[in-house]
Amino acid sequence: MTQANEPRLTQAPESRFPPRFDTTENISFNHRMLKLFLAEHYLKTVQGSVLEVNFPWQSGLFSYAETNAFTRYSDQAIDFISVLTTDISHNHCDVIFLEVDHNRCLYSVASTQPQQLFNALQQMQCPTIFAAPAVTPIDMTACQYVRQKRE
Amino acid sequence: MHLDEPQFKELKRARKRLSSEYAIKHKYHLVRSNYILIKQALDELLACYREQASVEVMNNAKNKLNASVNNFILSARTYTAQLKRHVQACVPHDREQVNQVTQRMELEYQQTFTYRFVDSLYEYVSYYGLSVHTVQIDSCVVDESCEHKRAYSLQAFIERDYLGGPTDFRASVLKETPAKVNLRALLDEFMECLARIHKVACDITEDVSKQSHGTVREFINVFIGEHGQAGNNLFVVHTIGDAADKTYDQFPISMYAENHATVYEYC
Repeated sequence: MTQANEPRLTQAPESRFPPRFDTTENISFNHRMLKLFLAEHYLKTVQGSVLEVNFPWQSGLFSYAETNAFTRYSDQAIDFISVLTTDISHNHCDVIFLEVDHNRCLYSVASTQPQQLFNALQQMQCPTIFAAPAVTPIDMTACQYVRQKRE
Repeated sequence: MHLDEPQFKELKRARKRLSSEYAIKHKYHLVRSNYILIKQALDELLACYREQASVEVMNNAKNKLNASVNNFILSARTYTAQLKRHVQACVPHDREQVNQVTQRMELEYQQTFTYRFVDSLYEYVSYYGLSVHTVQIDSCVVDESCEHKRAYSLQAFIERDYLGGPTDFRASVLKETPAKVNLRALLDEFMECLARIHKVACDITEDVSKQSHGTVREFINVFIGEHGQAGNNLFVVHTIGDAADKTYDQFPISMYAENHATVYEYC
């Protein structure tokens, strides 16, 4: 019988990851991927319709010579979560999922005012690390969406 | 202490059987130790990630993991490749018992993908020097009342796409390999297969090794009877003529009599 991995509890306060999110990171040769999922406990209170906001990275950002690049930029992508929810959406949306790879950052949000968010995204000054975003509405509840992403 | 020819032959045979039995056990312990080292390397890599260690520290940890997996595979092959020969040295006239060992190994190969896969990894690893392709680290929020507590877990994978084609990896096994092979699960199951094989070998060699042990013990006691305390290390030496430096053959015997290795057997 095989044993499951034993998770280790840590008290490290300077975790890279924001509270309330579960994470999965894949590290391979030339391939890195990071995913953040809003934890089940917090998903339950999320309201609104789901939108996918896809920010491609600005071209030329990742040079394979720099081994730390992915970590640095994914940290910036994580920082952008609070910008999205407070400055851009004025607290009318929750980020429920984030996927970061070498090509783009995908933010999935649940918003009670999707049209307003869409307008704000169109009008905002795009951060230098990103190219212009593409927004796609998704016909699922926040819970269904995150559950599907976890599979 | 002088020995005549029949005594010499008897001791030599006893030593051959004991050294073969010990070879089986030492090599099994080697595989087990390497298995434990892999687990430690996995834990270390997880700690590096969790503590956001520098790229250099992280790379060292990854290399250590790769090295430990490679060592495991090489030591597993050393065990299985030579097992039949060692058993044969213990029971040279009993072909049926020796066949039990080869049959057990063949059975494991036929019945378990894991066994086939680890066996195939030997050639791959010897050539490419690489085993772990991908590492996945999950973290989850524990204890919702305190938002900053996280639990981390790490999985290592061997990926079929990275293995290559039929010329890089045993074709028959490559065909049945899933997209990702979880390292921990693979090793756990392989150790179970190896334990079954090891048990067959131990059962066969047990009686013979007890007898041989008795023989060696007896000679040592006679020596002690003649010379007082034997000290730590007795050797049997076969010389030609009167000159003590013309050694034809020589072997130790004390190491087989007072050896604790067999006591701490943890199959």
